[in-house]
Amino acid sequence: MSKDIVIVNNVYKSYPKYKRFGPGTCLGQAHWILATIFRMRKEGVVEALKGVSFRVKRKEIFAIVGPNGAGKTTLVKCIGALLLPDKGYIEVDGVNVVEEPLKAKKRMNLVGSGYWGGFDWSLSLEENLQLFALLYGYDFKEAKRRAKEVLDIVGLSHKAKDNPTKLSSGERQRLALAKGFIADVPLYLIDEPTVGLDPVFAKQIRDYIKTEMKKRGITVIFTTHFMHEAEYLADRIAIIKDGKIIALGTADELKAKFTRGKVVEIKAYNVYEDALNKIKSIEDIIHIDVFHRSYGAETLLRILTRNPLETLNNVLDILLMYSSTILYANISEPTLEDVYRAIVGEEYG
Amino acid sequence: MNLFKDLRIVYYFIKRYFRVWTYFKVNFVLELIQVVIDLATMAIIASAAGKYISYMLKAYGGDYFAFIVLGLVCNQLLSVALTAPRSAIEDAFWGRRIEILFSSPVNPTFLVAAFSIGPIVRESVKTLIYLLTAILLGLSTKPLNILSTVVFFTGFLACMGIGLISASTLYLLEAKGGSDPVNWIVSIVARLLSGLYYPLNILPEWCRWLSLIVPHTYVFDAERRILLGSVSGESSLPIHSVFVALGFSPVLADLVLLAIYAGVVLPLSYYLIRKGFEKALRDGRLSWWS
Amino acid sequence: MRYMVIVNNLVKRFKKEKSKEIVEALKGISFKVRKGEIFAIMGPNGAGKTTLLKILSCVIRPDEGEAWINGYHIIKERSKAKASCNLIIGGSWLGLHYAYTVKENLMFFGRLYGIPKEVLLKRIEFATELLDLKNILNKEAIFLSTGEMHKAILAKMLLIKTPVLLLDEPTRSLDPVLANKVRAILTNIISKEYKITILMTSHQAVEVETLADRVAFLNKGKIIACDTPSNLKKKIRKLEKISIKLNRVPSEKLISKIKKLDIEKLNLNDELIEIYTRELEYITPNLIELIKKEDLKIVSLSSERISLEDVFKFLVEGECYESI
Repeated sequence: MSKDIVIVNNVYKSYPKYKRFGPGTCLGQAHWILATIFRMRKEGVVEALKGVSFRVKRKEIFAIVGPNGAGKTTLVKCIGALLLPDKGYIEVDGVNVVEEPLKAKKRMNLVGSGYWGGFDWSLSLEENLQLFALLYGYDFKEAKRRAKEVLDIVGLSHKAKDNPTKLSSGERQRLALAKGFIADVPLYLIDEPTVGLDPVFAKQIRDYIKTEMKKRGITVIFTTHFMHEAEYLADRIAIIKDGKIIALGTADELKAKFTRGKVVEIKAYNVYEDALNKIKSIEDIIHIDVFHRSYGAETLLRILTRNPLETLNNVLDILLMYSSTILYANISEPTLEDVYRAIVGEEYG
Repeated sequence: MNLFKDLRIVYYFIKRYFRVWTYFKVNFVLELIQVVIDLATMAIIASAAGKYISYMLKAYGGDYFAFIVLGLVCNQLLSVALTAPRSAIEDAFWGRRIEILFSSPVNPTFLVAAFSIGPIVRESVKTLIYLLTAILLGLSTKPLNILSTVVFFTGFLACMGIGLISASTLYLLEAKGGSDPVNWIVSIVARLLSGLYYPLNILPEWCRWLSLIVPHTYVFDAERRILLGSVSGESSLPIHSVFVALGFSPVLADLVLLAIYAGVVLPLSYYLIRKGFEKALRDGRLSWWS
Repeated sequence: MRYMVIVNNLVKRFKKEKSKEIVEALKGISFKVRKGEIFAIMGPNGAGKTTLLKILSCVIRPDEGEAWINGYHIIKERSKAKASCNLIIGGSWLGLHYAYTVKENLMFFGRLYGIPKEVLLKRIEFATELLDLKNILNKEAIFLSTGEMHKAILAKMLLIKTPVLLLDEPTRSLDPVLANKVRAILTNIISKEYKITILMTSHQAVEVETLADRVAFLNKGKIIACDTPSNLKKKIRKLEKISIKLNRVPSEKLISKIKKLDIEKLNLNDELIEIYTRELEYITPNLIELIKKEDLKIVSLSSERISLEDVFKFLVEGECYESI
């Protein structure tokens, strides 16, 4: 058994763009004769993945982050055998995903895709989960037991007989995760585990993933937009942009590589253009993010700098010179979000 | 493939289908009432027009009411075979379940077939009620025998094949949200030229060649001969004459042709639907984007 | 008009289908939103946030209570109330017709609100530039990726300039850079330039602290707190802290001036000053002013403040943080 549970090697994936003749032709509605003849004319391609390679170790929690449209979903779907890559090699638990998709699918569980996580509105929550358990090869008794257990874990046992339509958005998310926990497979692919969940429940889910998955030795690959979540949960993080992985490593490695320095955070009142421009021209500054608030131009600056003390004193001097009122000041370690902004974002916020 | 486990999945699909069907309880009852009313209409037409047509129905026993009812019963069941696979996939597509179902370790073609069982069971129930009502209204046929079952089953398989091809166009031709070329052609020909409402003798010779395209023609012809008329009789389809000349009955002709039809269409449909899924996987159009 | 949104004792009950139980989603909500304000509503899942927004956009009728949008009663003057507000649900697929392209969709929604064609086209161009919609304008909505879909839905915010904007988790499912951009659009363009009153829900404390003028906490159908973020932070017993190390020991004069500020506790350790306070944002400017006046330099600095998430946890779980 190899050390790596997922091997992605030089994967390319592009989508064809079809020509459009009025509303709905891409779906073949009504005018299928015309559409068949004309729409089959491809109008070019959209390159989603341009040579992606990485490996995920067993029992690792691995995060994939990146801007929307960068190729995260495409990548996860390629691993999950829902997309055929144009070129490249993908292996899950020793099985070639492209050549033996059914065998590979037995090793993994895709969670969270689809509006209702792929649940059927006509079956109750319990029955839906039982169905998923059956699809993964458990027998009736076992499927029923697992469904019950999993509903307990996500705190939805009181709604076991309800339809998925009756759930609030947070509960829907929890249900999607329940589907994930139902099969004992070595790899979980989770799409945005805590999106839409309130902070309290989000923490519960993250703790569950961190402790339970680790305990059972399950590898988790998840996508997220919350950098603090990636930092908290993941052993390693991959940042993908424009179809390529531009960074890969543990949170500490990424911080060391991309944000050599510290963050000076300052919140001040009455910060105007001239003050900002002067601040931006300070040497030693690697990256600045500026956040304004309405009313009275309350501004929050997150300054990534090589020389925090010097920068702090400079910025304070500048702000005082321009009669800003300083409400809050702090020097802290850069977070993963700072790394993300530095790599992906535009210069100077 | 562990057949037992997969059959359990089928149970869930059927359960689900019935949940959907009976969710709107009043609608369920109305549908059944509709069946009875349709039948009554047919009975009235038959009693009014029957005697004028019966001379054409010699091969089929001469009873117009039985002729039509038998045709409609077979048609109902064949139609469901034609439409079920495609509607199964479309339902999962629009309900956004298709990706999750696809990502589970079950052969997708099997899932499509399993999904189709629900509608088939439903139509069978309706058909049963139809038949019972018809019998009450005076339908009399010869008892069902093995031959009629075999003929029907073969025809059903042929229609399932066409249904799967129709389903494959969802991805091969991107024909979603409406009808597809296969189903369209088949339903038009079946309605006009398969002898559903009237015997084929009415139609000109060249039309009868077109009728050979759809399995319905063979099924109607054979079932009516077996259950109403006589197994050996004069030919009504152009192709029959060959068999009759060789001393075989037209029913045998129908059965053989159906078997060839199914034998060709089923493997072709399996191939096409796999190709369809492959195309969907390559183009990323299995589902709506995320 | 002083208040753009007035909500008075709204109650909404839902009947559970099979069990015939009645669930009270909203148990008497009242609040007022001033013109031009950004008002945030936070709360756990199932607290009633979505129900509240749906009532305000006149999609659901309340069982009891009343509400006014832009001065119009939501039941008696429904059409005028509806025309005054625009509901945008972030992070979902609700809000675009699947068979039309993004541009066609935006044109459609714009025309629904009666915006003339030329104006609409200009606004679409503006939105395209701001949110980078160039690549997806001619893409059918059904085939957009997650982020593209959400950007397109948010573009509606820039087209339809009703006096009130209702947002349900606007930056849900957006990556940090894009989320920041959207927040900037909300504050700079929609609030400041268009002077639109914004009512939004969110789960992210950082977002609410950056954007909101006032925050309401909704839990189990009731508003348990409604105030500015700084006032809300005072509700917890936890103290905020600032510790500064100077380049030399501060003078007695400086120390006595510091003591005169409103602080809870002061620790002095040679060059290190540690201050525990309830109002960090009041102490900080004064402290810095005093330090700079004495011409001292800061050698190290750290501040610990209470975040809205702490407030959230306290209000929802009733966890009282021990003060140090």
